[in-house]
Amino acid sequence: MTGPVQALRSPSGLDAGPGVADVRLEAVTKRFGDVVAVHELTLDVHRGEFFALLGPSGSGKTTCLRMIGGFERPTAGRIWLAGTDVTEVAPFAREVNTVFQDYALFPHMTVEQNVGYGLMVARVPKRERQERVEQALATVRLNAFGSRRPGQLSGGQRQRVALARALVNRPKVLLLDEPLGALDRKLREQMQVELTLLQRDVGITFVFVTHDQDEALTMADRIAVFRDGRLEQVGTPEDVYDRPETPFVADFIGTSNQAEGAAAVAVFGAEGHFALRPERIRVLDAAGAPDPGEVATPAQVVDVVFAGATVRRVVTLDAGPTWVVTAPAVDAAALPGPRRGDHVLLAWSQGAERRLG
Amino acid sequence: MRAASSWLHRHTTARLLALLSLPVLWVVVAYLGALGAMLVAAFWTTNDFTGAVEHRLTLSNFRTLVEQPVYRRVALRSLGVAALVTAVDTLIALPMAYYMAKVASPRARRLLVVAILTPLWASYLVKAYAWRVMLANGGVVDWLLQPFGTHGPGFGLIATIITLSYLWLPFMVLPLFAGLERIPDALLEASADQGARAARTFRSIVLPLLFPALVAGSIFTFSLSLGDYITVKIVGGTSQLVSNVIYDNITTGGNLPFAAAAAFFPILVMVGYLVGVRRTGALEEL
Repeated sequence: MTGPVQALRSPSGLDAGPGVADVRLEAVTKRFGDVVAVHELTLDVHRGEFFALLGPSGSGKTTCLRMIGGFERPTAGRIWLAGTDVTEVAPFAREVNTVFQDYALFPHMTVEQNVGYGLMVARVPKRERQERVEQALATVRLNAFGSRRPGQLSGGQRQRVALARALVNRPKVLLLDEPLGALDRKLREQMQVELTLLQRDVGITFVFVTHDQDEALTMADRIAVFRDGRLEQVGTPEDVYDRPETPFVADFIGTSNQAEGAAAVAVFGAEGHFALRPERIRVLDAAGAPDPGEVATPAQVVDVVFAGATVRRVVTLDAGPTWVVTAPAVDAAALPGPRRGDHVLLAWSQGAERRLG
Repeated sequence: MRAASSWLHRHTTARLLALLSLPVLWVVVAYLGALGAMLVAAFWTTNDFTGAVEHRLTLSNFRTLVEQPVYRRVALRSLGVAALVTAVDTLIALPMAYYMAKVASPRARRLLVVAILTPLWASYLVKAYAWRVMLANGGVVDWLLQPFGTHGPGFGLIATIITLSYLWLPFMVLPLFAGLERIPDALLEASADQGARAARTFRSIVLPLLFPALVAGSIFTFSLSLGDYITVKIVGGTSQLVSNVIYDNITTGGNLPFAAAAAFFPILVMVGYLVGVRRTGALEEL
């Protein structure tokens, strides 16, 4: 997204340096009645970072976001924003802004009034207000839509209005709750790129909630993987994809072929719980020979699925587990290689597997 | 049976007729017919000696209503009472409806809706007389206010406003409750997120979105108050409202044409109110 973003640059973004915690959750617990939504969770989001809270629904990620925004009070623990304890501070007094899941645009106001609402509340003089609203709308390329009402906009346009409304206040931190969840796939992929570029331009810390692992991997600098109100792993997209620390992360992020117990001994030659990515595996003929430095195990093809850019093969290892192997579809029509029922040899570079837990 | 169904399925006009004939008959004959008969009667007059209705068109009833100061006073008083009842009900109903729609647990919400609806099952007369007992000299209201060195309003216009406000409160609470339920919580959170305190959120977000519900509620409280003549008889002392003029002219006065002419007043007021509301354009925006 290009435009006069300079005006939106947060003052705190200018002196951004790595390692400065902009958002800190300290042993935060949130209970709703008997249900523990978030359990003693500690988390640092660095200044200027694009940070993803990733997890299945009900894993506590949205509750975390709402506690940062001030919409839920933690049952226990503290929340810090830019070095200040804001645990007891009301939402209207926090220097954060939120892009809500269904955008929560005010239906009785025009796009301009929606975007200018926060500035009006803050009693920013009318002239400055108009300028900033115009700049914010320019940033999301909606200048021509200022006098429309939210009901007259498409989903993608509404999303941009919500974004402009949040950014125009120059918050220290921008919170996004499933910002792309309501958009169709093409638009979502386009907005993923635009959001990433926008975040880089304005230099504001973005914290966004998603259940879509692709979205988190594509957009985030770092990802916190949630499960049942606890953190499973925090790390860069490369970390959580290539070096998952738990079986859950290995399984939730991308597809993982796992083996444990006797199967692990048979396939990887060691006790333990192992995971191996489908794209790291080569499929050879049953009589084929693995390259030096490769490990191989015999298997039988159960199914071959053509998925556009890739061909996915479901295989059952002679050692027991059922795995998935993906390969680029070089010649889609011919679907080369082993077919259903064929006996094959699976091979991968030694060390491509990951020991979990 | 089956053959009839298929026949109706093929003949859409007949189907529509079958569906609508009864309600249309009711609306045209019973509803509009009675109203029309009354409106026509307003232009008739009565024989001064015999009291018999004379079927000849005249504006004399309306002339009397406009020219006699007493009727102007009664009209203004009725408007004032209806407006005050509406205002009182709005002030009481807003926080109540807000609590029900946005704060209470689903269980408490159901109980409160039942609590609001229950008084509607009791007879109007019983409730009005209950207030008469409470407002009477030395009654509950006097007793409650005694420690503060004051006493109740006694019978009169204030007692009428209090009693009418009590009677019509559910008709204000329920539309406001429904209206508030339709406002997503996320909008209130978004307003707070933008830095707005509760008062600002109420003024800029809740009130504009609630306007249609407020109008709906006020149409009930306003028109019901404007049409009431029993409450004012029971707790109003000597006060007279428009509907008393209508009632007295029908019963003791025996002047149906004059009563019909007086009935034009609340009708015109309500039409004027609805046109005014339409003019604001707030109803179309939502």
